[in-house]
Amino acid sequence: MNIEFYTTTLWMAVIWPLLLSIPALHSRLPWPRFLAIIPAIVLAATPIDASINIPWLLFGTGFAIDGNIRWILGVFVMIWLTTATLTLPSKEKASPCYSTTFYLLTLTGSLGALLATDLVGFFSFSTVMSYGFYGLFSQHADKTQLRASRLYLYFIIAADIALFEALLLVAFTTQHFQYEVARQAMSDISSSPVYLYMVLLGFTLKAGIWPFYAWLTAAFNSGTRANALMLIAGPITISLLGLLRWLPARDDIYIIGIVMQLLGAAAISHAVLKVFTRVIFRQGMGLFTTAWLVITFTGLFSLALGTALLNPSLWHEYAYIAYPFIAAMSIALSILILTTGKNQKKTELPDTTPLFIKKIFHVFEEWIHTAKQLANHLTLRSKILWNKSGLFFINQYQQVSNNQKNKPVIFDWKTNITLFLILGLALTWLAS
Amino acid sequence: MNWNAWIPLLVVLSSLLPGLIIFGLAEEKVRVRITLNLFGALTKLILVGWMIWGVYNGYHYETRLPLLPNLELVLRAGPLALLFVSLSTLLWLVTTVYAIGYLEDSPHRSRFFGFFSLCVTATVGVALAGNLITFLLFYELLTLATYPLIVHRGTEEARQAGKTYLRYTISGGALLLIGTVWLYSLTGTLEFTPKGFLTNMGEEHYPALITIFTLLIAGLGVKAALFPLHGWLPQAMVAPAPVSALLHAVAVVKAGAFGIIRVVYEVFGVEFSAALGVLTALAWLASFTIIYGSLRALFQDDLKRRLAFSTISQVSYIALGVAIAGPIATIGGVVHLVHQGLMKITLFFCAGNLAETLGIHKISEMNGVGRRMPWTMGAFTIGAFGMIGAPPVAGFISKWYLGLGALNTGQSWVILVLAGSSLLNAAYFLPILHRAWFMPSPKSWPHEHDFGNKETAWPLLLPPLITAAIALAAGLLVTLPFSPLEWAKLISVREFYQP
Amino acid sequence: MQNAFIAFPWAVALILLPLAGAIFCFLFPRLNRTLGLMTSFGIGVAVVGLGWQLQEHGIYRHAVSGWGAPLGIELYADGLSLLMLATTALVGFAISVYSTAYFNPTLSIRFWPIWLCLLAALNALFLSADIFNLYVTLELLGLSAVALTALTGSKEALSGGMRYLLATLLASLAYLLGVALLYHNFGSVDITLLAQQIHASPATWAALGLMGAGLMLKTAIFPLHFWLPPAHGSAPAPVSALLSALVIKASFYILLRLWFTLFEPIIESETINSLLGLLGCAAIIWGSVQAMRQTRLKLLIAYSTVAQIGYLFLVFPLATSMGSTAWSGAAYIIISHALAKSAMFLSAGNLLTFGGHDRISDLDRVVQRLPLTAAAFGLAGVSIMGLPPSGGFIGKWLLLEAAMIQQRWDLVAVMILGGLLAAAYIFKVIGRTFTQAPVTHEAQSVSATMQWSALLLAIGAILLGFLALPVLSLLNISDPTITSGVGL
Repeated sequence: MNIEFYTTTLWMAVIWPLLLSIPALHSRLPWPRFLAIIPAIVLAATPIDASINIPWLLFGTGFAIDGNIRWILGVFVMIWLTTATLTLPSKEKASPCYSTTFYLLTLTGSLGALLATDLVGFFSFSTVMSYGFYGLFSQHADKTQLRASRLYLYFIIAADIALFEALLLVAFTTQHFQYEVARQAMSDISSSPVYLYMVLLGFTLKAGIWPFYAWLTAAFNSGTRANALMLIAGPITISLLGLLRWLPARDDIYIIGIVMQLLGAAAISHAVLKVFTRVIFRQGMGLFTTAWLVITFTGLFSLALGTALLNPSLWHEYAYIAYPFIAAMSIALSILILTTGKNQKKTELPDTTPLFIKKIFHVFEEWIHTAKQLANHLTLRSKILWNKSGLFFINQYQQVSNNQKNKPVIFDWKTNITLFLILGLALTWLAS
Repeated sequence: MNWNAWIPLLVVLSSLLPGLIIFGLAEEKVRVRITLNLFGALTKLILVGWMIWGVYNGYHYETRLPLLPNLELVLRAGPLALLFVSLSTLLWLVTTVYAIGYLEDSPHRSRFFGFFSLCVTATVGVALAGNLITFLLFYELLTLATYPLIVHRGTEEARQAGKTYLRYTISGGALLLIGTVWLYSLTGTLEFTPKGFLTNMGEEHYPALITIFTLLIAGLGVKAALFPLHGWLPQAMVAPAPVSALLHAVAVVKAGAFGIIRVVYEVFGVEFSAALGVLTALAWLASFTIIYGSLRALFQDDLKRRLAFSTISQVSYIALGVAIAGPIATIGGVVHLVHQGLMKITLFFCAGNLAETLGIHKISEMNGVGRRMPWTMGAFTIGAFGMIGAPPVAGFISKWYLGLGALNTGQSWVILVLAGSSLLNAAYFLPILHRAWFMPSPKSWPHEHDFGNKETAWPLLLPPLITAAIALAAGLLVTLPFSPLEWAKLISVREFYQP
Repeated sequence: MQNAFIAFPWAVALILLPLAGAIFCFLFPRLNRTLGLMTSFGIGVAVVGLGWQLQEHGIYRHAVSGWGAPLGIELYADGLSLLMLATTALVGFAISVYSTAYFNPTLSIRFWPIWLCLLAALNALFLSADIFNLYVTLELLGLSAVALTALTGSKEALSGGMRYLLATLLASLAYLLGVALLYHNFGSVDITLLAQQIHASPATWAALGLMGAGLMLKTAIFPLHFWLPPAHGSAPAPVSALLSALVIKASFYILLRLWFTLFEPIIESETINSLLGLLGCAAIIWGSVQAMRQTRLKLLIAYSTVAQIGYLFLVFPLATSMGSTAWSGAAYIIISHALAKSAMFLSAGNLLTFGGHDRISDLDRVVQRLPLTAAAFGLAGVSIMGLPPSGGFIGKWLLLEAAMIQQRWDLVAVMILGGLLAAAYIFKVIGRTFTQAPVTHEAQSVSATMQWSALLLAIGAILLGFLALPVLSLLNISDPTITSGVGL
């Protein structure tokens, strides 16, 4: 098997699910969700590194696979096979259902982000993945699920904006977007530190790292096992990868490292203290607690990353562990989900979100309503003013023109002859 | 005979002559009318393609006709002109197909298509104008040609909308006229010169020049829907959908924005404008309009009105790109001319489809319409994502360059505006998509037309798909030689920064 | 052959041909339409011939019967006269064509002789070189115009015509007094001779006052415009057209000539020019505002004329020795207004024939039922508003340029405001033509001749927008010794 085959498989792995996501295509093929994963399986199974450059796509991107990525790809493939099996018996409803389309779009996005070789490709594909998951999650959703999906949407929009700004900063500093080159450029002391904050914000929002986990718990709580699995083999993992690939190591801003460590520590302690002691004696393991486990693990990751940021030498030595860690974490969590999430009772489990976060979201959801009222008030008043002033001007004329009978004074002979004489005199006098 | 001197004039005439002939056609002569329309559109497309190839290889196309003593009517095909002309020509072709489908069995089609062709003539003239007086001539002609299309339906509501439209545009035209005459009396020339022709004016003229700049931008800002001159645009939505699509999303507002580009770069020159200090005010005004338009759009339930406010917001991106005054921001503003045109026309086509096929005018009636009309809503989704700035649709490229340009010139506050605008765009577009795709459909649509097992008629379905595909391609394939972005880079280099 | 064509005394033909035509129309009433058309066409040919003559030889002077000034009558033609003659010929031809279809036989018998008489008077006026001749032609013009106004014999026509008659007689009387004063003091009525001899004195100032006031009354400048709306509004459509387009311009032409050749040297202060400018501004504003208020179409168009005359009076403060831009602008406005206003009145006549009324709010979807007429009104409106591409725009541009160069911001503001107000009342009508009226009326058919003559005039007004250079070059054929620095 030559290298050509692998490079073809490389981009096929991303394009094939995208093609299949077109409803007209996948409704004609059997088992589309399985079909879509086949190139990815081939890629994961054969231990050959390959890469391909696509200069005409976006700003010049490419796909590549190596050992590290293969770990994660393997795990993804397994999770996807499981979800495809789980969702197999679901009868498609009479009206066209788009679950498969969104499923495949999420797949495309995850694969593309995983295999991309530069920041812009990563960002574009992860956007497709996020919105794809949003679509998937909103299919056949009841009220709680819809609310969760709305929350998720707010988060990914904010995250995308932050990451876009980060990308702009990279473009401003350097023209290259490949991971190593970009990270090198951004770790230079002269480039903007805002980049770090933006990347951190964006990916913590997307991954549901403490304290931005509200959407994660809501999604796990109200969704099915399949959805939870797709989250693992999708947004959460990809976002952790994103942190790995986008964050540079800098000597001057060590506060980021400290922040990340604190976040990780807080996540772990929050999970342990509040949830396990409260829930484990009453409800048993379910998707809800699995969600907190996810938060724990991402917190752990954040702790590790923060430590590495503070000591760049640690980064170089132990960076290779990150990939297996992510892979292992994903496997463990998926097994947990599978085993404990069955027959999830969609009862309203106690909501453990801190009060202040709840308040913020309440305000966020209500602001539209308040703003609407305010705007209506303002525009109504200005409309009344305008009508008054406009009417005043026009009314006068309409009233007068209705009385064409009474002749204006200008038509009176006396006046006119007087005017005529005055004009003559004026001309004469002025000429002198 | 120097053919190159006549091609710009032929491009203008290729829609004027069919239009005049169509006026005289009887209502029933559908085939003749369609043939004339398409013939004109194709001729124009061929001529424009010829000119693009020629300009890329360094040829020169210019028509000069005497107009006044010491002033000539100049039609010149430079890179910027060609960008706008090709956009207008392509979209005219697509909209003609759409209008043929939309207005089937409507009364007064000859009149409609006659004025439609006149509008395109005026737009092409605006694009190819080589000096300010030619620009003014075609700009006012555009006003006159679009008015009959707004009042086409003949209802009292249409007449009032036309009245509002005229109040704004004729006043804008008057301001533009004063500015032009004043400028001419000061400098004696009105030719569009790269880097402007005012660099030699002494300091004592600065107050006059600032006033002239304000007058010109105010006159152009009416059509470009800058706050507070935007009031006509939501009212003009009473016109039939093809009119809203082409004119108010592409031709009229773009003519205003295009005029702003011309004035800042080729009359005043961007460095001179910055020296005068007028660009900051323009940047503030554009930013305010961006946010204001998006805010107003949030509260509209009527679909076309929401799109109208979205247009108001998006066109100010172009003004913002101009006002930031750097080569990269220029690229962003100029390329947004094309991208916004493509995306917005897709959205308007889809809105027209919904109204024509199902009688839907309001967003609250759009529950579940994605299942009934998947291709239309698919195109709408692509357009909406482009507006939000999500990759890989084209809108993301323009925002990218605008943001980058702002960073390059040290005006980082613009990034906040862009971010806020993206947020607001998401806030008013995503609920529409959510409703369409994820809500259950109502039992019956307000006014359904049956098209058999097709979604809707072919002339109505094909245009939005074509423009959506082009918008997607413009974003994905940005690095290809003739993509809008590459052409915008060429313009920035050839016309603005290194004449 | 060519030499014969040039050497022919076209100027004389211009006067004699319509006079002969009038007599023949009177004698042979059955042939009046054909004769009238032929005469109009002949006048057109004569103007072309005269134009050629001027291009070849410069200014034209012809002493009638070989008796030159100061005793005899002399004919004089330069660029300005040529342009006025050309406009008269063109508009006259269109009106003649229109009238062949408009008038019923009874009215037709009365119309044609008087109309051709009026044409003769106009031509003679534009070719006169002395002030008494001008009086004669002016008087003839006024009487013919009054007769035409009262043609139909209806109550409004008679009262409007009566008012017009009294006003015009008053004006002519004042003018004659001025002529008498000048003749008494300088012993000549020839303009060239007077221009050489004139000097400032109470008599000349009085003459200026009398002649100026008289001519201004005839031109219906604000505030002496009272006679115009009833006369133009109640006359039959072709008559309104020729009144607004041609007759008013004749007295303005005389005012221009006398002002810049005779009176310029004796005026001490600039205030008088400012006064005329002020009256012009007031006319623009007042006329436009009144036009917006009207509910009848013909009255709207009449008030629009009042406003447009105001533009012409702006030439007085703006014409200086620094350049001829204002002069060209005024001339251009005269020509394009003549074409546009006649097109407007002719389309109003079509609408009147069509619906039996000219109420603006009941113009039910005329754009669909009378498309040619609506197009004519629209295109003419574009020229009146001063929007490109039209002759009106060129004229407005030139006047604005002149005002800008001389820093007359007040005049700029008034001109722009006038344009906006004109747009308001023109589009008021056009908007109604597109809209369905609450009540639909029975429609009569309108002949194609009538529709096309209106439309062709309107198209002419638009085409003028592209012919600025040839027209203005014609204007520049003039005598340097008479025109003191203008028209160069």
